[in-house]
Amino acid sequence: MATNLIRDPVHDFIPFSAKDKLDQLLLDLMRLPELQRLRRVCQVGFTSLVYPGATHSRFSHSIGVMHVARQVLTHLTETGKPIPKDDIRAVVCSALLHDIGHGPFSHSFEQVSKSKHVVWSEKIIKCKRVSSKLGAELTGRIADFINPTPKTSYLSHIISSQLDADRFDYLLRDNIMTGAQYGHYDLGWILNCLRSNPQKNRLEVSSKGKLTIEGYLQARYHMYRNVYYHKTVRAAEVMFKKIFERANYLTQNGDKLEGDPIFTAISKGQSISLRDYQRLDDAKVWGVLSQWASGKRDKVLSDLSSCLINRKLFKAVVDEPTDEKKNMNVFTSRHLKISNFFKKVPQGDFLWQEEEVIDTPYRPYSPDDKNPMTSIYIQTKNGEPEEISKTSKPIEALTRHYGMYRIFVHAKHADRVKQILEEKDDKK
Amino acid sequence: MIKNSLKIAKVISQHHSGRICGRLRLQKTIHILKHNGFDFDERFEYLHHGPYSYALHDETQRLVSWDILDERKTAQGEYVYTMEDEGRELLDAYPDLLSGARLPPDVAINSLEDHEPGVLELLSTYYYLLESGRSKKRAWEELQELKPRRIKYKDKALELDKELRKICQEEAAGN
Repeated sequence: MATNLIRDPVHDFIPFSAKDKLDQLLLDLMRLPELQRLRRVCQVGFTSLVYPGATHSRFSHSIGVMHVARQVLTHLTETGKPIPKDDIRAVVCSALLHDIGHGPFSHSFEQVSKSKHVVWSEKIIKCKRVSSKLGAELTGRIADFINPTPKTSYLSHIISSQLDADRFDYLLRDNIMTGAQYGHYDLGWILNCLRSNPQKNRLEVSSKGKLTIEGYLQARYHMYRNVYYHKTVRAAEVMFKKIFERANYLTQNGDKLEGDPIFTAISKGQSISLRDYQRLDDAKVWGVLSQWASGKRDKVLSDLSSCLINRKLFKAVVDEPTDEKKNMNVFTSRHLKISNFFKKVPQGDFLWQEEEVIDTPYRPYSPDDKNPMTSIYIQTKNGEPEEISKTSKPIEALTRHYGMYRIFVHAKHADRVKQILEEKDDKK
Repeated sequence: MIKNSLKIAKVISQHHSGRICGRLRLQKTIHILKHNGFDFDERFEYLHHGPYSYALHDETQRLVSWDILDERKTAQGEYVYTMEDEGRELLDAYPDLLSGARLPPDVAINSLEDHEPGVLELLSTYYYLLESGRSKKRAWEELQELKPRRIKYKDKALELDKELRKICQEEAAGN
């Protein structure tokens, strides 16, 4: 009989049994300040500036991943060999803790602080308060699972792979919370079709799951193309990066920044302590941006911060796919036109940014690895499982990379820059 | 993107031989340079042969499809990359394009070029483990298991690491 229930917008009831030691450990972990911090870290960074509903947290996602990981393990146990209890504990706890090291605004902060969240995750998991709950052996296994190498057990693929509980949860969660409608797929059927292959050290999908996997990979493609790589979301991320570039420039020149000294240290590229890192959350960053916005020391820092707070975002004066063959000179000369314009603008380097996103929705192989975690194998009725893109035309189409190229400029210069670009086209 | 792609093309053009032999060598070269503080934006993750960047792979393929780079597969199955005329002309025509970026000097590229791919693979993997929060001691312990066939290059890898750090320090002092 479940004594604790969490109601979740994606998975509905998530139960925790009073009699189950693992469930009680999970609840204990959830109560830790280290995990509670994730309530204050938005799952999708600046995406709520485009999709206002997308204010959900890393905390709700972490619980969702843990729940999906439990379901995956249940199905694998029912369809294959029993999985030892210690392994189950390691996978489920890893699922709950996998994002514990995320900084404010999730991935945006990684670029600014030039530190990887998985490194912080490992440090936090090994800190006294968390590791004392887990015990030394489990702590070590979780650290291995969230930062795996190809030699780590296939059970780590439940945490990180093309078929991981992380992606299973975030696609559905972000789909619901953004309201975008691109990311829906049939999770229940995929879970039903998952199989383990310990000999090959990988997860596989039974032949009945092929069509559902097609839907899942297409959902991933659409969510990346339409939500995560949305030009306005990227514009906000670019501005966030530019603000910290400016802060770095100022601190390198000996200026002191307003607000919490931790942001001066981050701006300078200095390492920060684990204790300081755990003080960081989205609110703390909005707070310092607000201080910088009203600060008098530097007009550029003040203007950029104010613009981001008030959603006066950079404009994409160029926004086009780079999938097809194009003459590199077109890109280059256009880039230089804009670059030359901003050279004449005071502090112009901080007011524009070129950016390209390249993505391959599904990678059946990599030149570096014959059996990467990005491959999905479908079991066949006769013989060896096959890599899915060899048997599915829609998935074969998703193995090609696509790119989106943008040049973002400060809104107050956007019209002039567009004119300059048109002038160039007229001359042609 | 223009900058990212051209930085890769420039690294290839900086090689004594004018070419880079092997996708593994290209991947490890860029990762090692990035670790030493040069401006490369590609994200790396851990695959069978150590750190690998899918973005770098995609960018390279696109440079090939745009005739900036030439890609040839040798009889041994190795991919060789050289600059096409169009790529050279592009770099010559727009010298300002890469201004402001911290790019590796020729001497750093040449140091890397002088070593076997196995040395680069070991050093790049060592760097990756450090970036993932491992101590130096633990990184070498893990390398014994992860790279049993490459661990014989440990001395050479450490020598290369020292050499690159010296080049970076001299470069920073020069600036």
